[in-house]
Amino acid sequence: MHKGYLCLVLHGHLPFVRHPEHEDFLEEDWFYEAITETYLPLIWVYENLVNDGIDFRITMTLSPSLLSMFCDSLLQGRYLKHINKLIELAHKETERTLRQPEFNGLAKMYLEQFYKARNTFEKYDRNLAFAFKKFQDLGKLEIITSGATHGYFPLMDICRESINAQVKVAVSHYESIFGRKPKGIWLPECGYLPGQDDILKEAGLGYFFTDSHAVLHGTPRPKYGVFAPVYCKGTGIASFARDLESSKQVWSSIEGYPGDYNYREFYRDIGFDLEFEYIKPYIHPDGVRTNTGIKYHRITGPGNEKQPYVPQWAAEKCAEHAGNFMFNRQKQVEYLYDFMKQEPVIVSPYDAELFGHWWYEGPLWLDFLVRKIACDQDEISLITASEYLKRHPRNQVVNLSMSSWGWKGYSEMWLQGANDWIYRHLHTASERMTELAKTYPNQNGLLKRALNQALRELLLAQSSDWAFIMGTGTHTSYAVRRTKEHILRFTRIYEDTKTNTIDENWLSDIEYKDNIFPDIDYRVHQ
Amino acid sequence: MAMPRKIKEKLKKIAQADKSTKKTKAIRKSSEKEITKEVPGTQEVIVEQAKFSHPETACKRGGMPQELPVCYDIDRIVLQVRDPWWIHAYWEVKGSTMDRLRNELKGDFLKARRNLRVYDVSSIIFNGSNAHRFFDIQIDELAASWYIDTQGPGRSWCVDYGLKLSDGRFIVILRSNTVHTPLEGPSWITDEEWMIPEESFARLYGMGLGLGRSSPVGKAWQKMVKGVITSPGITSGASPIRKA
Repeated sequence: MHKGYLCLVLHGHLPFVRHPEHEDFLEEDWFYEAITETYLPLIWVYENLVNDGIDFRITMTLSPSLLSMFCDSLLQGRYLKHINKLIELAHKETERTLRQPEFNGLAKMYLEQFYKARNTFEKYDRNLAFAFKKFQDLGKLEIITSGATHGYFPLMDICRESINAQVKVAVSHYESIFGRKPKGIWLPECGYLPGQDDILKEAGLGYFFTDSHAVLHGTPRPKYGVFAPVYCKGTGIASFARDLESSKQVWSSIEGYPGDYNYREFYRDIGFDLEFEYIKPYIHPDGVRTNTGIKYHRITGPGNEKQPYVPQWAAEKCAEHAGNFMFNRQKQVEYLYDFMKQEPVIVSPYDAELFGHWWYEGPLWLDFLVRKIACDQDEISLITASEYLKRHPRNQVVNLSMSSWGWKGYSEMWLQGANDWIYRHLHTASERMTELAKTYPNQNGLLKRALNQALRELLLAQSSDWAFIMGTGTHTSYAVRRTKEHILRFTRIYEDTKTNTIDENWLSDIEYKDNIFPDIDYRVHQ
Repeated sequence: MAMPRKIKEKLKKIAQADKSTKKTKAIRKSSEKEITKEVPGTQEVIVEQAKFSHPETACKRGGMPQELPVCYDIDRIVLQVRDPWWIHAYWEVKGSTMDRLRNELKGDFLKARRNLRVYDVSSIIFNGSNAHRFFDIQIDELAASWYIDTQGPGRSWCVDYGLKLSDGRFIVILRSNTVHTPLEGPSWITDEEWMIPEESFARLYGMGLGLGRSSPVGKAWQKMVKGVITSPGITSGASPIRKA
């Protein structure tokens, strides 16, 4: 008997890392690795499920900055070069490991995987947005949007015009790619501050996701906890809150599945393990060792000694873990159904890169899970947030509590000693952008180009990733540089606009470098 | 997968920094604990961090851009919420504003101390004199931002930056926006139409947080975060603008 729903959400996002000024730019590897290890494997999962006639519903964020990179011809060409190099390396690896059977099979596995990656990439005309669109059009995926550059809204409340721009730019960008408006939004970092939902409503969005305490600490008390959506008071936008039980099982490297000793070890990569002269052509041209994606070891245990990876064992574990996850959801739903006297919805959101990039076997686990849910039971079914709302339109109205899914559950990850200096600059730039939009309500020609670029620079500076990276304390110089660079570019446009001294050559140069959102309209910043 | 050493160290470092700055902050009498694996969001940090894993070389290429301005020549104080207990203020006072005060106050100006006055303005329209209560924090002359322990989840706050004269008078220079700190646990307000018995809510609350079916209301979340989330922030102390 059907007793409840599971809403799986994969949040796909990367900051805009595109550096045409250099042939090889390390941070672009974040994007290439994500394509090979997460986004293509997820596409393969969806393709296989569709080909096998398995019905499924998965919600997926494709953040506007990630989508922009999918659609960018420079990055597409560079990815092709990247995957060709990996194919070349994997060929060499099959030769090098000929006398090491425990690694040779793995080298062949990677070679096959890289060829498949290239084929799929070419099949979708090098633009993975087309692939995801296909599954959305088939009714299997519900793609939602996020902040244009993933700005962290709770720390932008002093300049709500910027939140408005983040949302409006995201919605129109989504529409230009998917041919319809998004139904929901992933608030960047699940950052929610009361009163900001009116901006979402105005943009035509119907729902968003939050962490569990947004609803559990909401007023009045939510009758069904996190197991039914609530409507925001005043706007009527639905909020779906994360269930931490199902979350922990997948997220946690300690209690969760990804830490199983049979799974592939993330931190052992031949880019670091092999002799320098051999690996040199496949790491950064400056000679800096980088991950290649070829990893031969399994987690093995808590120590540093790692044993060779055995894909068969990992696949068996994956099947077991998918079964365990489904069993736990069945039990959870059965209990809740008796308790609530209505069908609960379990919301399980994950960072998309947890699947494949961080947890190599994640896509396979997802494949097993979807198949098991479709074929092995009838208590739970997969659902998207919009489908749920259609079936269960009557929900409680609650004032949600401020929250995020970041460290400690609020804003500290983005507001601490290492990154609090950015806000006076970001907020000043926001105020200035509002001033520009008011001063020049209808411009054309060079001034319009400058104003549009000013908004691009502001949005790029607002990406939550920069504050996050500064907060973690590693690789901070890139994040600091990006923040400063975009604010400085914005400031120059602001000053040049006011003095009517816009340098067209310089403007063309930064339009070329920071080419995100080609159809942007600066007037949304109000 | 073991938690990357760098992240572990970072989290520990933040916790230690929090403790070491405790004496500089308004005192909060609560026990502090080491960050544990249960701290919400730790796994999200690890996974998100893994997206950005590579050696740091970017700055070799092209170097750092020029510095941002230290200030923007505006009178402004901005308040933001960090968590249910802590808010953060940053501010800037124009040179001309300070000159004016110097002229007006003459000798008193030199003896005056920089001060933040933190008002509890919950459920009122604040007019400068109708706050439920306020407390003062004496700050360094060069400080340009501060983490403030409000000790008050679920309340609204406004902050004045100003001068405290030797005779006790407080001269307001800047007034902030108003912010609202979230509750630290479930609301005590229930909905007649959507009523739920206390015990039933307790079960749902514990389940939603992944802690099983018998967690007492309000304690579960606090249990997960207490000690860590109540820790003092990293004060900006005497540094006018914190450099990264």
